[in-house]
Amino acid sequence: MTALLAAVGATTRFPGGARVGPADLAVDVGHALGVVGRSGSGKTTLVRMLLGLTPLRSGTVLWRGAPVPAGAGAAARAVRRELTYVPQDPAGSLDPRRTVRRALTDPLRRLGVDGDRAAHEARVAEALAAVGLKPDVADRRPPTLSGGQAQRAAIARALVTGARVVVADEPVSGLDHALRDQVLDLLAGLVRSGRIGLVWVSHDLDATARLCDDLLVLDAGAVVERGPADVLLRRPAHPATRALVEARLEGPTPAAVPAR
Amino acid sequence: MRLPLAAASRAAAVVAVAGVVAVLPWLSGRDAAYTVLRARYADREATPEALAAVRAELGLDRGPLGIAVDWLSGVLRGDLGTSWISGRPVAPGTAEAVGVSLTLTLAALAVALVVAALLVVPALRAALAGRPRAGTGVTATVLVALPEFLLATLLLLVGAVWLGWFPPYGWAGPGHLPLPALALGLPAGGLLGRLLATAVTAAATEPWVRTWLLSGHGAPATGAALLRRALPSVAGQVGLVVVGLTGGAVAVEEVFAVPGLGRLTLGAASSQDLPVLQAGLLALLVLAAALGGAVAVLRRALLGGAAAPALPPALPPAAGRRRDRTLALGAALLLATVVVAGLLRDPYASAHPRLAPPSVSLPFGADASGRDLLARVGHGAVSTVGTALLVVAVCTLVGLLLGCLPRLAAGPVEVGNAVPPVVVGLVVGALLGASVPAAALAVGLVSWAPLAAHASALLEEARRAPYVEVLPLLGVGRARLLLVHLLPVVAGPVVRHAALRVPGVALALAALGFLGLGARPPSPEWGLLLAEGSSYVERAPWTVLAPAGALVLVAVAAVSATSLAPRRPHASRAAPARRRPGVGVGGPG
Repeated sequence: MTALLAAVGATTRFPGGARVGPADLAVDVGHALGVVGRSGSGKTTLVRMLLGLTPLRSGTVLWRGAPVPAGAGAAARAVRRELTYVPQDPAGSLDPRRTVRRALTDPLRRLGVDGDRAAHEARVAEALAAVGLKPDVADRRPPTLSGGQAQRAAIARALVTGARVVVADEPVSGLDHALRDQVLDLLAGLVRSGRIGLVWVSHDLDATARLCDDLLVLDAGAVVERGPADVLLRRPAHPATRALVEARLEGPTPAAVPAR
Repeated sequence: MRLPLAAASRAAAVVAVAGVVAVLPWLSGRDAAYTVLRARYADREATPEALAAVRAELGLDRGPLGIAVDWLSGVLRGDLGTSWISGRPVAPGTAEAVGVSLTLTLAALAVALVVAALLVVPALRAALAGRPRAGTGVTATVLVALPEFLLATLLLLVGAVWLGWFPPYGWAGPGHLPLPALALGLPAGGLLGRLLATAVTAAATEPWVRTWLLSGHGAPATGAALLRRALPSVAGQVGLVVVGLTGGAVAVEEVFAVPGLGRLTLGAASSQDLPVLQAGLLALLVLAAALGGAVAVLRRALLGGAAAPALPPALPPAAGRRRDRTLALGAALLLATVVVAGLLRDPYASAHPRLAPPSVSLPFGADASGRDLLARVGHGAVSTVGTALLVVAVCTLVGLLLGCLPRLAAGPVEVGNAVPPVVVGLVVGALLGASVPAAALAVGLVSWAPLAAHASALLEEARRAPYVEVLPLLGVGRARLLLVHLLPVVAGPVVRHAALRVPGVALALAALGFLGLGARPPSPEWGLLLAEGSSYVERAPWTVLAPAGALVLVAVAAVSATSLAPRRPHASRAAPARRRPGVGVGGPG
């Protein structure tokens, strides 16, 4: 039985030309995989590979055992319903001129989720409830939301189409401590309850340690270390991992410092 | 894939321009045969056989490729063909005209440099005194505003008719040089000075300036550094201004009867003498390319070894000056008053004494046919501005459309930005004959380019917004992304930008009318009014002053309006090409 999302020896190149990968990983519902590394270590490029946004040079990325298609065809839409994305700065990823309801119903329609308007409305209400937002938030526009509400709305958008695996790329960088904890608890709850699987990309080891079962350490585009999170953080083998762990011990990580 | 497509588009644009010039005789088709028949064999009937004979004689029956190959291979051998009208070789006359135009252009450049220096010095002094200020004041605004054809007419009136210091027409001795050089150089210098002063002011707000001054670098050293910092950021626009001189020269040479390239080309376009027109256009394009190349070399020398994009451009601060706003509003109000007053009167009736001077009942006087000039100016506003509105509307649509294909449109945008509307007007006029639609087409052919450049810069900016980047993952396809998510964001600013260009386009249309490439008599078009009046300028100066006054008001409104435009953070790429309204170049930037 293969995992829902699996990468097998997947490599690509940075925009600059340096190689990223090969990456091997597998994620299932109820499971959280952390990808950590310094800025520029290739985390975002790996995310783009997993989502089918970057052509691979070798290896494959599989969804339910079949390669993740690129583009906007029917096959791609089917995958994008279940394999969704929470970008960096999730609040900024909401169009300021559209209501939260519109932000959530649009993907339902574009990705061809079954059901009429009423069924879609029900899905929106359910997704908002899942992230702890009140129904009246649906009719507001992002500029009128608080930072936490906007973050939750963006996560609701990732869930609404029936996500099975969510890829989150540093979604809490730039948040203050309290807000970060809210988002972490929310995602942890969704994973533990068996609703989604999570690929969690971050340079914030504290957050990653709280959330993830397994870790994968990237350095200069290559996977340099992997293993269960608690083991890896207690006994880092690779210098890159050690540097991350030491930076965490010396003081607050950048994400832990209120950014605004 | 980024560079090759843009490079291919540039190459294609250059080839297309050369190709259009090469196949001009074919493009004009039967029309040209008719013209030549009438010019050479006035006694012969224009029967189909006679026309066919002429076509065969001219080589018009050999198809576009044959004509283009013949002409291009002739050019390579130094043979520019023979005139259809006179039957003499084209090359010697063209060479003479190039010499004249080169002299005039260099003199105009000298004037422009002096004017620019005079405008920059105050900005530099203010910057060194620690009080950088935006803008260059009313002098520069007015200088930039006056299109060459208007300035030339005014200089002729003042310098040659009233003061009698200079000969009015011809090209016989050094006394003939100052007036045309001033007419060509003053607006260019005004624009250069304005651009540079703004760039210097912007550079002066950078922290290093204060550090230099505090650490004992003298004012001269800091001033030189400021200039060196400011120059590269405007070098591209300086290049456009200098290239624009070739367009402005057409009108100036026509007004002062200077036998240069512009006049040669204009004459050839009006008489459909296409070989002469081809040679003249080729020389104009080569001249423009040489001037643009010289500016590029200078820019490189200024930047030293640094690659062009490596240096962050010094951007002007967002500053709409109150004085500019007042000036724009005042000019618009005054103009509106004149137009409304004029619209209530009859522009065609010859109800007054010939060349009647201004009086209470006839505020602007009468023209040579005894027609009311106030009425003609008022009605002219409607047709000129109406056509300008139409042209701008079409250009906005085209600009938005092509702005969506930035790499594909790169070449046409650059050509459109650089080629002066008058040069296009010459080609279109020669092909289609002079008419308002032809003039509108000519101006439209270049006016879309700055709008497309602006649209594509805005699109690129909008594409980078996080909420747009995420859309492909939410199932939004390319077409929908563009139409539903990007265009609405971009359309607003582009339409506002287009509105600011209306006066500039109106001036370009008037310029073509003035040169006889646009509206025909008796329609009351402003450029045409000015051209008609200039024959009587000595006896009845009001025939020139009425349309000139109206044009000055439009020009001032145009240039001051541009300083009201909000600047965008990505102005380095988004900045629409700044052009002088008028003959040389399209609208205001």
